[in-house]
Amino acid sequence: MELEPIFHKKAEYIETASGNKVSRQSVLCGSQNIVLNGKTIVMSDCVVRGDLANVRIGRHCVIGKNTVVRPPFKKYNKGFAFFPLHIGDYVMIEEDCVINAAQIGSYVHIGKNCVIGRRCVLKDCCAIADNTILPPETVVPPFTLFSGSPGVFTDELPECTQDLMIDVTRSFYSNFKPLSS
Amino acid sequence: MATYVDFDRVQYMADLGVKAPLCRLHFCRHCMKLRSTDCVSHEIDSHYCPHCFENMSPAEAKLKKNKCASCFECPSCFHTLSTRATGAPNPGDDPSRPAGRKVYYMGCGFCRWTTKVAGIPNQTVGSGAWSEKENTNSERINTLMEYFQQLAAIEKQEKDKKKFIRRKSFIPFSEKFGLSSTRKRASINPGLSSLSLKENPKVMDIEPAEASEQIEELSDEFIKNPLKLNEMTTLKQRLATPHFQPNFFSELYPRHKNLLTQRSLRCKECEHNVIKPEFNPCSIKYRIQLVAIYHVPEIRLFSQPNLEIGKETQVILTLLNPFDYAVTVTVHELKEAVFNAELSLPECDLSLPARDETAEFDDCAANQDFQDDPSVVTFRKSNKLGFFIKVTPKPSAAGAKVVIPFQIRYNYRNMTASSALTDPTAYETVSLQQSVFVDLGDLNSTAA
Amino acid sequence: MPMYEGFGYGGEKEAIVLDIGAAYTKIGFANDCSPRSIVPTEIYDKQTKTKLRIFDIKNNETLKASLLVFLKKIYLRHLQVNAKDRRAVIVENIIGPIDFRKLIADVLFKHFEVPSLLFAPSHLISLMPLGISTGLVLDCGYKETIVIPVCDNTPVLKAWQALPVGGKAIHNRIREMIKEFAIVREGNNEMPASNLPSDVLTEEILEDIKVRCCFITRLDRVNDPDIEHPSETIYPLQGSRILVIPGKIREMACEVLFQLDGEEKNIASLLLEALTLSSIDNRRNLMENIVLVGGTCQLTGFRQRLMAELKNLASTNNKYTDSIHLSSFKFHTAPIYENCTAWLGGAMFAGLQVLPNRSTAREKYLENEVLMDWSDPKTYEN
Repeated sequence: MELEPIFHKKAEYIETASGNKVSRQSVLCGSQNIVLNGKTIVMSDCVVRGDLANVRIGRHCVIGKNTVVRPPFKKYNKGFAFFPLHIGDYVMIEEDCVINAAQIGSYVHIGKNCVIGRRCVLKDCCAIADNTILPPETVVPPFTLFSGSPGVFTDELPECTQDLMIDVTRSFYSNFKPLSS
Repeated sequence: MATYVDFDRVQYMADLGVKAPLCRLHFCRHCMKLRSTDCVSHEIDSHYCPHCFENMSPAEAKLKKNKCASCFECPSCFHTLSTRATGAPNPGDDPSRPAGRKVYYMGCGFCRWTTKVAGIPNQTVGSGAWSEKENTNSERINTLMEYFQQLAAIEKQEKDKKKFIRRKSFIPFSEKFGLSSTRKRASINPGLSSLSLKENPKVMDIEPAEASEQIEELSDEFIKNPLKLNEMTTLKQRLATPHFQPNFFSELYPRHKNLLTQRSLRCKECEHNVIKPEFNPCSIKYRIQLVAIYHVPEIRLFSQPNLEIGKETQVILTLLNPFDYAVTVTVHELKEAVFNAELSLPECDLSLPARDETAEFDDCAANQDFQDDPSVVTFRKSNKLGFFIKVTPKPSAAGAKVVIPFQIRYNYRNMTASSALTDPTAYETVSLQQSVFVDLGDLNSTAA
Repeated sequence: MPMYEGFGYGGEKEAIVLDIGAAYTKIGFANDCSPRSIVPTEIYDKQTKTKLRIFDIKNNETLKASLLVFLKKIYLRHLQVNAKDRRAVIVENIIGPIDFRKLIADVLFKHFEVPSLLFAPSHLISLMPLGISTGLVLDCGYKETIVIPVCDNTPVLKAWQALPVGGKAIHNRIREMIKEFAIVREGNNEMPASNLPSDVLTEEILEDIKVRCCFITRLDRVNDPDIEHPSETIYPLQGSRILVIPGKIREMACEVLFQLDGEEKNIASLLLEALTLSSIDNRRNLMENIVLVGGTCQLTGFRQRLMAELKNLASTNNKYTDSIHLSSFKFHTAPIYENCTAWLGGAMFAGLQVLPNRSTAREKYLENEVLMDWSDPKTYEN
């Protein structure tokens, strides 16, 4: 089925020159370290912690409501350091997630209410089911679906996942319209 | 798939009558048919570890019992174990060793199980030092297997011997061999007899298992002791290592991680490959990727319609052109199909332009001179259009889902025709048809 | 591909061995000392979004489709080999339903294109890991307990005995006893467990209670009315709910295996009944070679109780004292846990050179679709 149009109040979202739509109710700390590559939507009540380390998000991404995107840290003998967080293109992250991953590839779908642990690596074209808890340092290979708590491999994704994700994120973006007041 | 979009509403009929959504089907270019995962044969290309991505051939994987040599799994929660370093020495170590020397143990980031719980000593090297729990009975089992294999060899010999029973020769011995002296005859015989199959080869003796009458009684202490539930393993944890099923949590041992496979799919009829992945497990590209969404126009349900018995509802379906050439699709009735609604399909041709990658960046609508009948076509956007069909559910649809079948016919450019060998741009246009089944959902529950 | 792979003969790849039980399936390869994995015999039904036990499906069409999904999962995830290359050995229940066997053969030969298939009778093949040729085999599984004596490597089918008690019966008894005796605590509230909605106590929870908490008690404790049961156990349910399991359930839930039913049968009497039906010269040999197979036999206290019951019944019940004059019963201990003993027997047989001769070949099956079956003489080879 096709996606339904989602309307938002025009004043609520800032649209940048490259087509990024960022909600005014979201919190972007350290915005000079956050890079959104174009046509990305950051929905309301999100928290993106650019003050800890660089956060780079690709094109046509969707960050759902109430999600926390936070770069991971690593403990050393002399304290701890924060690592940059890279999110690829065409990534759909649904509501209420907590993302601490080190790297999320392109064409990834993360379900609702997930917790992605520290320093996790999600390769391209993978998916995380709703309500999954990925423990720290999990590696998710391409074309796999992880679910459960702790997140373990449960299913395989079809070979056309890349095109499906491109289609989903593009139609989400084109359906994300301001309410004509 | 953690689908954001519900793909199961529209299903296509593949060969052998299997119905599946288009994203799960493949298209064989040589047979020109849709293939489901049941119509293709799966062949294992290689094995890889989901954690360290170490690639190995099927033969190598067999030697390692389909497990990764370097990655371990937590026996308690099945998450991958990580190696951690600590400066603390083992309690039984030589105290004269320098205290700053690092020792390693494995721990789980999720349930906090560590190798210390199992009593495994810390290792001095980070990797390669840990091993799985061995099977203490393997020697006995191997002895028994050897014995049975000897018995099997005897049985096979006897069976083969029966096939080659030497026929009695009617030619007199002297004429056959041109010999008259008995001495020569005697010298030939030993040679022949040594070629014959050995009679009654020696079979090793094995000790059959001994049964015993002595069984340990359940002690009163065991019965009286309160049970600590946390100390007992669950059935899933026990069955994870079949040769060692511990009852107590402190006996759990780490296991090597199981490998995943990369598979290529082959059409069962024409033996051509339909999917062939790259060698590298991290790559998302394919060497051959004949998925159906690239080769068949896709029909999607635009929105959930409000259906009532006897009332004609307009349902909007979208049609997408995946090809890089213009396509004309006609919608037809599916004969011999039984369904619980009256259907009115559009009569006219639906034409779609080629798929254009740059249309995404081009906001203004391209000039398209398609004369669309507004009663059929609702909208048109680059290579996608929406069209109406009229559905009237019959009374028999009460309480069941309304699934409407129809057929689409479209022109397909076949690039594998023999003329294409000489001229790569040459193609043959054929008309293909696919049966589509759209699940319109349940009837509106508030309807009378 | 290397010519010599592993222990096998010639260059042929090792066969796959499956033991499809009612609750769990043991999966592995020939010549291995233990199965690669043990998985529940169920599939995930996408339409109803629930797990469906294969042996609960009655409709043959659905069963065939479910078997296809189940076997696909086994080949892809657990065995990770090409089905076309490997012969298959399935350890089966010799008195199980014929339809099931035919469906498996159909799916394996037609869809997976296995080169050959052998159905190994589980009671017979369980003797291989012990190296004996005569034994009285008790298979106590999930759905039922079946006893078949095997003399000189031949199952004595006329003496078969079965009772529908096993893991499932224990789960049902636990459920009944919890409703009657247990308490549920949630925060400061306490209420009897009978108030719990019926879907809270799932099969998984009951199985977990059985495996972790329950045991089989001694015979002398059963008949004593003043016995002091063990202390209660706290079992956490979903969220903050706690189930307080009294010690009585821990000790008495598994009695369903040993209590005499209306026909005065329990699993010990099955063994004695089978002995009386076997020929008199084999009886001593059978009694001294009792083999316990099946997951339910792994419960704590099973062996000692079974021995005690056998001795008790053999000496007190008139039916048996007449025909069984001795009372020296001996149990075997296999080189693998009881739930995998039948599988191990299958794996040992599957590694032999004679496997192709004993199996049904694919070409032959596709010609006439006939599987050799002891119950149908028409299927015997000439």
